[in-house]
Amino acid sequence: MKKLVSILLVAAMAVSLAACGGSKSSSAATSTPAGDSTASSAPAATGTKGKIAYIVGNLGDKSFSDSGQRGIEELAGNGWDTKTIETGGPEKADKYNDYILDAIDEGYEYIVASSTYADNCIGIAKDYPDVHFVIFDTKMDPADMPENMTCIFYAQNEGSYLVGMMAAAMSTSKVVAVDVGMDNPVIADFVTGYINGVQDYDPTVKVVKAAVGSWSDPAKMKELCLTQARDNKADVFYQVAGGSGDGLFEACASNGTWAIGVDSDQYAAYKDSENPERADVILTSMLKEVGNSFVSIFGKIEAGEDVWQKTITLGLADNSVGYVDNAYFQEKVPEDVRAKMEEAKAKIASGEVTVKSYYDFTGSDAEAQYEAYIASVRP
Amino acid sequence: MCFFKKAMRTAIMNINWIEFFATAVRLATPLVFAALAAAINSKAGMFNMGIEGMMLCSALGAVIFAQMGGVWVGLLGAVLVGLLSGMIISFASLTGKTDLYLTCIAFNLAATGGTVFIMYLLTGEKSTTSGAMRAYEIPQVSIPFLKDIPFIGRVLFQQSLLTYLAAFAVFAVWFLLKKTRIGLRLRSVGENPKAAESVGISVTKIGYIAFAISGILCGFAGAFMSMSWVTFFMKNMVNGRGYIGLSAMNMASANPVGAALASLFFGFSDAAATTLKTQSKFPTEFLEMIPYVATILSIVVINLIRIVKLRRVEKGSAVTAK
Repeated sequence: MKKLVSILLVAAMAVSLAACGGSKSSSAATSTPAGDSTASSAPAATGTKGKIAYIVGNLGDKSFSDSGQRGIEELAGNGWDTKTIETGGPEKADKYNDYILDAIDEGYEYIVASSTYADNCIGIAKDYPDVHFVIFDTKMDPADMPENMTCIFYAQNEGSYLVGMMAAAMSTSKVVAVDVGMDNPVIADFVTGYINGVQDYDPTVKVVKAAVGSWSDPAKMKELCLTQARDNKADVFYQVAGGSGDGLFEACASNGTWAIGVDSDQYAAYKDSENPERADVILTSMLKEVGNSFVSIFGKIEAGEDVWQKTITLGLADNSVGYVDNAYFQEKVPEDVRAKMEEAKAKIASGEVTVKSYYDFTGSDAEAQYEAYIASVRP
Repeated sequence: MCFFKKAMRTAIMNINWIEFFATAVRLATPLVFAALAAAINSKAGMFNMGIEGMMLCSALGAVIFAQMGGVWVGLLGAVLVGLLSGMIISFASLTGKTDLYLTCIAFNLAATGGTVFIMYLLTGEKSTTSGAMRAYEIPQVSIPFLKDIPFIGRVLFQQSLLTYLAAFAVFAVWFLLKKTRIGLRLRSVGENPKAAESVGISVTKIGYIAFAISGILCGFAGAFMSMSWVTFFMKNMVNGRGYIGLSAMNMASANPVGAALASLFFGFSDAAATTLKTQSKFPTEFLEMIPYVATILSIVVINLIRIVKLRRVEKGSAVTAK
């Protein structure tokens, strides 16, 4: 009897483990109706332009990855044969190579992957000269890049500059905050642009910057924001923290401060959700149009342009970054502030104004220069 | 060094200490529940590593059940899910005779993926329920009169309902272990299961009871995470707090009061790390270590004290033997 029970239990455990392991792949298939169904049901009819595999950690973040997914869906509509492959988070890093190689074995000739997979792709690219790799959200020296690879880099500092101006204008306490998930060069670029925008708008406004230390710990983020509001008197919060960012919105809702979303229109995302009142703290979101950039680069590839072995920087001028200008933003943010933001946007796009970037800090003490920059605006 | 002192001095000036302590108590709440759950299991001779997964399941359960009838149904749901997950582990390890550690590890891994799977089935979301499910919050309760006491009033008597429940649970678990028949049996099973069996105590039954109680406590811990600290579920949102509870229990060698105090200590170090992040120039990664380094240091210190005590007892007995 006991043996039977234990065998059953082992079976149950195996099934449950298989179920959760499988959840990723099965959900990948079902969550991409547009992309995947065309890929699997009628590849010959739609796959005329080429086969694209989008390698992503997990969809459902309502910002970065999902924005890319929208671009992939648009490409599928344009006649590309696309597939989205979800690899899971950093705990699955040992399988990244396998996912990419599987996609290549299935005949995908373009691999679109974020900077997370850059090292894996560089390693693989040399062995597969016929496959092309599009790495987005990073900057790379062409010398370090194989011939069949290109990089898309977003000028997140430009978008952050504009929302930074708004933060400075909307703050009554003259202290604003920027809270990030973890520190890395791209995130530091957000922070640098934001501080630049705040200071250019009003040099007396101070900025507090902190890192949660995780992309999925909203509880810690909420605590961090409440502490900043209490001890630093910060009253406008900019989140660059992925999933942890939800904690920031909750903190803002609980103590009546303002929030700025990131990557996608987070006001709209909350407004159509089950908790529409939570949207009311989000004045605007800094946009990073990952999806648009895919559509544009594959347009260039289709047109036969040589995009390989270089870093393509997309900024305000290319409409790849920006901010959300919706009715709520127009209602809450005063006219003159909005006009100034528009003006700055035009000037940055035309190249008249250059926004400070993390990548401007060079040399061996780049990190120290960046730290000093943050310290110089601390209250 | 001068820079360090200067950084600290400005830091101390900007901190609202009352709020800081209130925060620390709030942050400690889920840890107290987790530590108590671990203490019950530990007293029954079982090291329950599955607390992390049990909390995670309960956190999701709270949010799902709350959709069916509000915050109290959610709380009940969290407790039921905690109970169920305790039953799964105990059924596997006690009736199915699987290895407890392996079962718990398997359960934690299954919970990490399984909660996302269930969330996806119900909402189509894979990261968080913050948009897809209505948010419910367990109310904050200010206790009349007591809340007006300066300092202590804010720190102890303006908290979430679950924080008071955690304080009550410390007493309840202590009472259960020390003053009831079932507690005596539980401890005797923990001390020596064979001897307990020989006097007619069913080890299996006691094991089930221990897991049931710890499941309920994990249920409260999970509900606190997803209905009080924040008001949604996010994948892997427990983020190691179950393990911290486990080590709090370990520090106090499963004494419920000690375990609760150790949890409070972790709450403080967590609040300190958060405050230092906003007040100082220390690298985040360094500050992130504080609660964990505090764990290791305090376990070492407490064990040293234990060793010294033990030596004294040994010496004492040697003297009396002469």
